[in-house]
Amino acid sequence: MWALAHQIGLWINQSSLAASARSLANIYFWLIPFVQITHLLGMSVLMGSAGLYGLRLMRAGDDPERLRQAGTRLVPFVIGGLSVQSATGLFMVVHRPTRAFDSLMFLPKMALIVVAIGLFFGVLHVLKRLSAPDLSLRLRIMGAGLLSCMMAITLAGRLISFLRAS
Amino acid sequence: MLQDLLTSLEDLPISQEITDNPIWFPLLEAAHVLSLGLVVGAVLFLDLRLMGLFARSESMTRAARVIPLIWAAFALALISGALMFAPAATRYMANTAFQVKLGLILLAGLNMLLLHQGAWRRLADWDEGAPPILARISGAISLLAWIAVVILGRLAPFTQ
Repeated sequence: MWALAHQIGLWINQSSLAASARSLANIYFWLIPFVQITHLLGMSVLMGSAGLYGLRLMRAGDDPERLRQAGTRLVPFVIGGLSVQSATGLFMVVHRPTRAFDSLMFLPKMALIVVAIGLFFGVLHVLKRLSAPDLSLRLRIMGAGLLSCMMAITLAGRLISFLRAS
Repeated sequence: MLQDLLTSLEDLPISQEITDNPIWFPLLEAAHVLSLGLVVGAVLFLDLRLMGLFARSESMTRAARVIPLIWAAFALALISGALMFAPAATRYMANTAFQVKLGLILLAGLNMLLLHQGAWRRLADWDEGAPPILARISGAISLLAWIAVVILGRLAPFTQ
């Protein structure tokens, strides 16, 4: 799998898209810090919305309707945060593809993002369908999963530069 | 005197260990980013509520349940930040972005203290309703200060 990831990284690295990203970063010295800062702020928004919603679910003392309302209120922040993360993350990957694809952390981070998105919207779906007595344990588990995923995504993102597959 | 203090921090055995062992810096940096992300993420929504811009149907008391988590995450950010600072204390202290970042953290702390001495003491009056103007201003200052802390923390390696 790592060999395939390495090949994908090389392929993107040789593309005109990667050349354009590098060229832009050379012309505008502030671009890389700007993208990194925006990525960090987007991560904070996601941690404060999806991550801490997971923590709230773990308490499971609230009634389902209140939890559903709280989750629905956070949807624009989750979607906004994800959009910012996707755009800035994509730029960073295209700018230095081998840094991402040669890392042990990049693919697990992507997988965790998919799981976290599934868990967040899964919770909202479950809250719509089930009644209070059925919810407690399931919500606690989903909440713990969501918070753990968000923390692991942040850690994995920070370790991408340091843990190499080869 | 400050220079002596910074040099003695750099000479601490733990500073030498962090410099010599390549595993420490990535771990400390990851812990710092995670804890700062938790602090800023939690503060963001608490401040938006304080400004009356988010979750107005929820009481401030309920929104403030996140405060112990903020303190715990801040403690982790402080410890991991101090451990990254110690081995290169002189270089960090000469960095303008880092100096302003420290100043903004102090400003956020002072702002929180003033909130607790003022509007928070009359929380019962506005717990379920619109926050008073001083609480809104305090929320705005806190939000801007913490966003600036993230920006300056990331800018520090790029600046002198």
